[in-house]
Amino acid sequence: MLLEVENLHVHYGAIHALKGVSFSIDFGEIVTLIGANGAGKSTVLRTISGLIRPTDGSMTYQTALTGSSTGTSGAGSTGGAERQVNLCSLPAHRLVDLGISQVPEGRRIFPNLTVMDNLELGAYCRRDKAEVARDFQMVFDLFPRLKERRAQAAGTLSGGEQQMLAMGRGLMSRPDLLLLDEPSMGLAPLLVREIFEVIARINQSGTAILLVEQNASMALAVASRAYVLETGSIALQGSAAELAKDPRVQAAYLGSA
Amino acid sequence: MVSEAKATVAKSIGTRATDGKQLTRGAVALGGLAAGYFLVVGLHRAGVLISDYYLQILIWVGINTIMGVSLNLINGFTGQFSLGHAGFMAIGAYVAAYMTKILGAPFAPALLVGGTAAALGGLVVGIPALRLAGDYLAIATLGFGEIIRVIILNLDVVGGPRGLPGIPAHTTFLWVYAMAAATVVIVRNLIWSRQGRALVAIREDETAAETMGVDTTRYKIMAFVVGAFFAGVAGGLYAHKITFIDPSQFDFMKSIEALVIIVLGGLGSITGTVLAAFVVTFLPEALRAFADYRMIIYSLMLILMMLYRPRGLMGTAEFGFRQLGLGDARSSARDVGGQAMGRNDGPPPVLETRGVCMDFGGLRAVSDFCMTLRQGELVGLIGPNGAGKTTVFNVLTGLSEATCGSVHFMGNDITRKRPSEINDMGIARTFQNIRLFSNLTVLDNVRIAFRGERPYSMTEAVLRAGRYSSQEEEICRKSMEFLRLFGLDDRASEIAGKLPYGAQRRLEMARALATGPKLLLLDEPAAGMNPQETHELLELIRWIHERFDLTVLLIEHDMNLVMKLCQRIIVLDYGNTIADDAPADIVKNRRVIDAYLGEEAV
Repeated sequence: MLLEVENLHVHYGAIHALKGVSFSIDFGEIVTLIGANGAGKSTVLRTISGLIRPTDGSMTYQTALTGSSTGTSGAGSTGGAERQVNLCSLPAHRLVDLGISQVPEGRRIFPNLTVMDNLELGAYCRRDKAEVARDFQMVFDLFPRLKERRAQAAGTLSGGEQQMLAMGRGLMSRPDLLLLDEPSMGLAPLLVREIFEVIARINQSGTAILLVEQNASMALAVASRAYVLETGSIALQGSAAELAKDPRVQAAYLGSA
Repeated sequence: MVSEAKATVAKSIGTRATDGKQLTRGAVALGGLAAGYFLVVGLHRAGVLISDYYLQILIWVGINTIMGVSLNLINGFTGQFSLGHAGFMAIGAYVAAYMTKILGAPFAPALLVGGTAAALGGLVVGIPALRLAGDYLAIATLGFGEIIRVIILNLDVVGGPRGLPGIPAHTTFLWVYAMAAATVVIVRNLIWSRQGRALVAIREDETAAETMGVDTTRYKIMAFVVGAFFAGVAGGLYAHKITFIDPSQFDFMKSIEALVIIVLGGLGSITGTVLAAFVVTFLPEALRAFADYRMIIYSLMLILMMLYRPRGLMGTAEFGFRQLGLGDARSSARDVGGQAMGRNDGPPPVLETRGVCMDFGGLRAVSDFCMTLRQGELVGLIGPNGAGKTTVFNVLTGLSEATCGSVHFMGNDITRKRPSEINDMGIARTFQNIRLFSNLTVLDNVRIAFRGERPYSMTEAVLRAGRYSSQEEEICRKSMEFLRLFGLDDRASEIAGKLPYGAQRRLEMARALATGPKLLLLDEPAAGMNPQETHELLELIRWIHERFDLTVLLIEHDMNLVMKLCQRIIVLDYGNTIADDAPADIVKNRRVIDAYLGEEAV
């Protein structure tokens, strides 16, 4: 397993947001978390990426890297000097080095920097200039609109373009595990399909993805496995195809009442 | 009719009960203040605890309190970073001293004229504050403070650099105590009112405040004028305490002193400011035993206090009647009945844009946009990302001024109107990236948006008189009503920014509706909602459309929602209108399919 989360508890003050959540993500897998607003999906992502400290539980992450090296190794490789790290004890910025990258909900781009600068900051931890240049090309191939606007201040982009930029920035660290929080939010229908194609393509290159989405039908179509989160606990889990057929999921999240 | 009569009766009873409590509070406050005064004076006379020396320090505490509370109104509550407070104090000090020493005027009018002169200074500084914010405003106000100092330095009538000696020592403990108490009460009453909510709204999100109908220009200037007035009073007291003033006493460090008080006490807490005034005045005195190291220890203690209480001693919290069990019903959530509605009478609302275009630099975001919304219509505005949909909303609400073309709302040209004016006329909106006043409570978010027909004045707010009580009662009742409609009434006292995403979207709609619009603009209300929640939203929009007799323009990417909800759909692409048709025809439109929907949607 690439990431094994066990019995995760998170509190916001008196509020018990995650109540013993356990799940796992294997190398090269797409796993989706679905659930209503306020169920704790974003909290799970933010805990993995180190922005929130869990009050209890463990998160064991398998890394092929030596920690100080940069994201040069092929994503999802199982060979080499593998080692396990407990993510609970690491600060957020160290996790980027370990190959975990988050595309946060609400984009969180740097509004006063240009599109290029934003992408470059995504590659902040990397030293391999030639590879970074190739990844720029890859991002621009995925999102031609960003190339058109590369010299523009990111804050002047439209909402959907900012979403593309946030994803592009997340990819620039060349992660082994990409955490996507609502990537289709605010995107036009054509673009929503495009984004999911992009997600599949990123995954094909070996990157494991943990996907949080409101568009549950699309998310279940692209993912191999899924977890349903309800008020801070895992209510259902299984293969994405099975869950898509589950009447409870259909009623609550697929809108086919 | 019967229920209406019942509601009226209930309301008048409610008002009377509140009035009773208000009287009690007034009596308690007055009694407490008097008791405090006599306690200090009594202890001083009896020679217990309070020596002459401590009485002097208490006088300085009082002056620092006035200085701090007045700055907190500008910095803490309105969020306008001002570093020119010493300038206002200098004006008050010099004008008052000039009046008593040279003109022989009594102390009271001298203080008043000093304060008024400083208030004029506040008016002057308030004007750059309209264009500047944050660090830039801080520098501008810093410059203002220096200008005042340099002007005085060159003013021979008040002694120039030699200063003004021999000012009568009018400042007694009674004066300072009374003035400090008056400042605290007036600023408190101002903050807990319609006007105060407007100030806090500016601090939280100026753009959102504008679109909720808050005239930010007026309120920012008001904060500066009122704050400067009391700073001037503090200056007058200062001059008649120290009896010798010269320009160097009012330099940058004096402004910093005031800033330290409010940051230590908590930006946006009056009780915190009073507490900090005690700490900042007493601490250096208490450390006199350490002689030379005194200021180092004092500074270290300040740093430590800030480390452990990074938001100040009190944060934004207050100690007041509520802790004493005399809470104000108006400031807390509770169940209230009656029927609430906005201002939905009058002629039929019609929005018309003629040839609107909008350029950003060289980029034409919207071109030749023509749209007519008839009363009661529910229209969708769709298009690819970056097509200019939000820009259209910004033009309609006055946040962006159209490069060309015009916008007419109910027969009035609103093209060059300010957002708050446009909101007043009856257009309200929500934002794509939710712009709530996220540090305020759910109830306060709606209350800020609420306005009556003839809102009470600032004087009525400060004196807690006239229409204040009845209107506050009504605002609270109607706001709770709105919250209930949106299923948020049980969360009224929660902090808006901590609500789950879907609830924040609903609150933003409640807030927009509370301004009593005729036209509601919704920017991606379903973004981030799952199908179930989207379905509930659909019902909600349908319902408010009906209930409030609204015209609705909706930007949304969830085609399912748009198709079910809208009677007509306008499609934008690269700033051009490529279709304007009924939903059934839109999905068959080739250009729309190519640009936006894609093949699968057909």
